[in-house]
Amino acid sequence: MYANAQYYNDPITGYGPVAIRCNINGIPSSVPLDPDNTDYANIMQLVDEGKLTIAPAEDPAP
Amino acid sequence: MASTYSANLGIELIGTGDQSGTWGATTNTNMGTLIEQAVSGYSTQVVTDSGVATALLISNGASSTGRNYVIELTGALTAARTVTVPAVNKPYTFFNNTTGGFAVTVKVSGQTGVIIANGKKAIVYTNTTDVIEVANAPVTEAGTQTLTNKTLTSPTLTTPALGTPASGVLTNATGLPLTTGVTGTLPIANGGTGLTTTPANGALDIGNGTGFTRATLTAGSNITITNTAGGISIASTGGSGSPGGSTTQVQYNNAGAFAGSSNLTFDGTNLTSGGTVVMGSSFNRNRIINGNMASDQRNAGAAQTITAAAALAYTVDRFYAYCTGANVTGQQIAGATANQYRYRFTGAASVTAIGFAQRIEAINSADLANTTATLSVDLANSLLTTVTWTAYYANTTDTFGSLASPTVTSIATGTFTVTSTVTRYNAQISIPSAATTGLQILFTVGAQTSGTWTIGNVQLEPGSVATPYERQIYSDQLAQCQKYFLASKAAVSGVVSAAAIPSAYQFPVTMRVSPTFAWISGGTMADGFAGYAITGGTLNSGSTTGARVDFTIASGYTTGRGAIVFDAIVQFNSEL
Repeated sequence: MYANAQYYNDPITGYGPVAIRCNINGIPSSVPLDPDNTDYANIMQLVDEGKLTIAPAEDPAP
Repeated sequence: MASTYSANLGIELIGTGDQSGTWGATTNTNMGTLIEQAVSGYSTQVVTDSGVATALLISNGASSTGRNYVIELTGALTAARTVTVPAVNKPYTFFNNTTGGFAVTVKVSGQTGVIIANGKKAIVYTNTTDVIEVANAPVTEAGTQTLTNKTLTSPTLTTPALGTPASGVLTNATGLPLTTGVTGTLPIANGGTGLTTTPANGALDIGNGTGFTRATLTAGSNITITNTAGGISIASTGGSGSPGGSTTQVQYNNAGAFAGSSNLTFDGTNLTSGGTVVMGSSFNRNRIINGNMASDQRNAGAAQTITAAAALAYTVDRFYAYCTGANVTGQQIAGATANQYRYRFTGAASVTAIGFAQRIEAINSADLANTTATLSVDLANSLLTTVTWTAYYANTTDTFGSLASPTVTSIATGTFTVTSTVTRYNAQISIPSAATTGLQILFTVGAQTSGTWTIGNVQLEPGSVATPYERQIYSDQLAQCQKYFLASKAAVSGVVSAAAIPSAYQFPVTMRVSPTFAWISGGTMADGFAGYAITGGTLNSGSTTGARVDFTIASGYTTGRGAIVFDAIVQFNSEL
């Protein structure tokens, strides 16, 4: 179960997104933007099916 | 008026008025001699032993042999002979009492007549044309008799000597003695051997493609054969010399040397090679990683709640679980003796199904495509009696989808009938040629509403033979697991920025893909001035060999300071 997905930018450089933060089975996790990563593939499928939305990244700290 | 004579018996018929004063003598002759002869007369007649028939005559008004009712034929014959009688109407009884054993034919001259066998009595009559047989004496009559052209219907023959019949059918004959009653050699087609030679000691009838050859066995190398009357003794004489063997047989001598080479020996327990043992698939044959459930990085032996209808949840390393109906508990447990660990689910009310599976990467399973593989597993269930197994292959390489949207194709499925005692089961699976994209082995049970389901020693190996579970050194097994999942409490170095402490992890094993990161709990950041509790962590950038994790603290960021993060329990997950 994937929930509370949100893109994550590098807090130092502001570059991003570099990962997706989300809860996986209730555990706060972060998923690399790698199509071969199973979690990433599952998240993208849910997004395609309209079952999950990934929130934009928060602005990195100044 | 002159007398006349009757046509058949030659009785004198006195003319009217004739023989006055003398007719009495004629009448007496007629009545007392001629008629008496015809009615009850008995006479003998010597049969001429020549080609000329013996003629029996009836003379008019005079005594005649041929007028008698019974005529005994006598004389010594050297061949069958003929007796002729007058062509009149008259009954006869003939008795062939000739010697020499020959038949006599009684007939009217120029006709066929009746053949009377030697010693036979026959009742016949003449009808002015020929002699007709009325009755023959039975053949049981004493004396030797010859039957010619006679049909015997269902006769009973007592100790007959049949001589040499021209033909005969013995379909219903029994009691034929094989030792004296038959001749010739029983052929193979009739169940025999076609052989008549006396076998030597130890001789066997050995097929040769067309029949049998009667021969003794030929001893090969290091074999002795001793043939005795009714016995064959075969013994090995390998001794310390060179053993035999063939492409389908291996022999070792009693010095333990295979094929005569001391480089390969067997002492009954240990097989020792003086060189390198080159194995095909005997080592590392199990494609299931952590099949004995020994590695449990996620839970370290603690119980794990599998949430009903949730996403698949990884449990002990490489295995995931799911359930429906109600939550269940899964846990690595201690096994018995050599099987140190197993995995066990504890059922709960309303549970409708539990699944337990492992996905096998294509790089570790593609070679099984188009072959037969054998699945083995230790199972027990204290409530249910059926465990179902199903094999799948991924539709695209290493992509199996989710529980809700699987992207796999079923290969085969089957069931194991289990008991509450842990027992090993196996099944053979024909892996299709398309299954080069990774495999998934799934075990499921139904309504585990109570009791426990125990699983262990899962093995998927090439071939159709279920071999014992292949154990591995634990460190090797852990390293295999860490390609897919790493639980770490390592101390890592970083640097403090305005909102995070970027820290570097080096993975002990190259992971399958860039992993998902999770900060589980704990950890302290020390920057040389103070320590700060870690409150979170996020993957920033990762690869298969390491990752940058941005740890956070509640407050106290001093930009630019070097830092050490330690005791943080984190996980890197690159499972399939």
